[in-house]
Amino acid sequence: MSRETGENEGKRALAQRMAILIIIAIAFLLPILVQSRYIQQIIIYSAVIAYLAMCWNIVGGYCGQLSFCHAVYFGIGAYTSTICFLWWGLSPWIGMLLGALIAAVIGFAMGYPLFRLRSHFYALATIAFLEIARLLALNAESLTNGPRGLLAKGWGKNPLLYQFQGYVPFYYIILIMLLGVIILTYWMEKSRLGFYLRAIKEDEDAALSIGINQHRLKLIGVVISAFLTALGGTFYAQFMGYVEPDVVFGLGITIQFISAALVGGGGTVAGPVYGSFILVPLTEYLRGKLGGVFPGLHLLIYGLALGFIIYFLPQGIIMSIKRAVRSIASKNV
Amino acid sequence: MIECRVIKETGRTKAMELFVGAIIQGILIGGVYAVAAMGLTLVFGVMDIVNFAHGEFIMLGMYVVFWLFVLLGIDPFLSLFINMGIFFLAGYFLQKLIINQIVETAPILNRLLITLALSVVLTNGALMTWKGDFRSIFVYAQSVIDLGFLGIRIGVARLMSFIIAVLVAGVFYFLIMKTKWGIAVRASAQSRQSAELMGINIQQIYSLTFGMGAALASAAGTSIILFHPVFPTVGLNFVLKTFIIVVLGGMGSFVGAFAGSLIIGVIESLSAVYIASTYKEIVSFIIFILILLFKPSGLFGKKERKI
Repeated sequence: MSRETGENEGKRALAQRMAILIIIAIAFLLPILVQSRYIQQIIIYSAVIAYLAMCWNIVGGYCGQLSFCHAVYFGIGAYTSTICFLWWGLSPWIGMLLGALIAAVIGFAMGYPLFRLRSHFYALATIAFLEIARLLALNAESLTNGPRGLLAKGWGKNPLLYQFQGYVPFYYIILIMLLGVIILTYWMEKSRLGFYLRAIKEDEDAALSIGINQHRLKLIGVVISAFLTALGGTFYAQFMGYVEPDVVFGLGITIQFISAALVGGGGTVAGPVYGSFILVPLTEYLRGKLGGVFPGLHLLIYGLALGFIIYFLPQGIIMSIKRAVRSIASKNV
Repeated sequence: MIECRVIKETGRTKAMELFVGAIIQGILIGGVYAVAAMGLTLVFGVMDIVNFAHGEFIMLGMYVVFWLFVLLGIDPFLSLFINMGIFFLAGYFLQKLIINQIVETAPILNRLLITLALSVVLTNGALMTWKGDFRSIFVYAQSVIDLGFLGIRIGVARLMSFIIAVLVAGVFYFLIMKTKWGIAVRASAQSRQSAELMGINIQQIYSLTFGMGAALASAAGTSIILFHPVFPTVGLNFVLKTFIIVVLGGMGSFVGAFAGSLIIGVIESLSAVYIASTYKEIVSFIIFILILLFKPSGLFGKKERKI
């Protein structure tokens, strides 16, 4: 009996690996399969949100810290590379790393005091922090051009300056970034760090009592997460070609990637990706069709999806599907 | 020489005028914040929920008064009662039908997330329905009262909104301190288990509490619409301020909420006079984070509360 289940497990793992390889192959061939620029744009935006949701997931899903200030790291990434390029002619590839380093330092500096707070007070403090960042970006006009925003110049012919023609190069960049963060999360989940982080999420006091230094682990989590989120910020700036404080430091984008992560399933490797590729195409399609008549419709759907998931499937879509599959499989056996 | 002194003197009275004027303005706006803050602190104290949708209740309350005034010509003073009634019922059933499930079973973060989801839905629902336009009513228009000393003048709209706010806050304070319902609510906040043992129907109390919180938010909305335009995202501005106040006063403390409101109101209007007004909000957010870090129980909260 046990041997049979073992064989089944092995088969399942093999099938899973094959499925993943096929999905990756399709992902790499997608620009050839899909020629429509509109659909390409939606796919890239889904991948951006998936990437951000994965980054947030490290802190929000695995550590269980409801962070609303990831848009700060995102905005720092977007603004640092853009400002460095426009003001000093520095290539956004270098500006990207610079922004990521600044974001990581700020993530550490903010996390160090704030991780002492418990759950919802941490969330409140991060909202205040996001507002501070947004107001600073709005008011530091000499640097950020204030509410008028900055043109990031991502469209051009010089790949060394993060400039490309057409969507396809951008697609491959975000695809590689997304795969990178997925692999990192997968590795983290299997590693000691991942187990520690989950222990903290389950029960902070119990984790503390078996000698897990939760404060240090959360800091490691937030530094990695902030660094990666800022890279996404630079990509967003170059792809959209335009940054403004109310968008990149806004609650709107925060809600998008938090909802995507939690709808798919917080604290899982695949959850945020599923969540993003379900929510973003749906909302972007509706925004294109009805955005003129019903502004705010796309965020309304994010809110409804988030509420629905928390109310009915608090562990996210992916866990529910897994459970359903498992129960069907066990019935068949 | 004499001329010089005269200029100096008038300069001094001008500065004095500015200072006292700012303080009075701060107290007037603080009274309005107090109503919103009491609703938030009530829900937090009893149910241990940080209600993100509180700002959206304020926003919807403003819309209700706006439309009642524009379409039916109902005076804001009268629509205060209609407004509070509607929101009490809405909050009561919202808690009974939806939020209650979350409070009973789900981990603590989900309580926050469900109210966040509610707030996103309400904001964007309002944006879809009424678009992003700024809407104001001018019941008291631009009329001002001269106080008769130091040449200080107050806008009637602000004064009326302060009066509404103080009346509501007073009645609420009486309810919570003197009535049987209020005692039951305070008992549930202190210890849920002992309250249940004393025969208090805790589910009923939770629903009443959430309804009362929503009603207070709508009352705050009623007084805000008198001097501030309404638009779908207006709630965020006010709810953030309310969070600051409630944390400053101590989560769950009514006296703290009231005192915190006056303090934040005065700080805000003083910093609008003396610091560039764009930075005044940054100042209050920094104060907020510092209080969370160094005095998490607030100025009037209980010491032992775990944050």
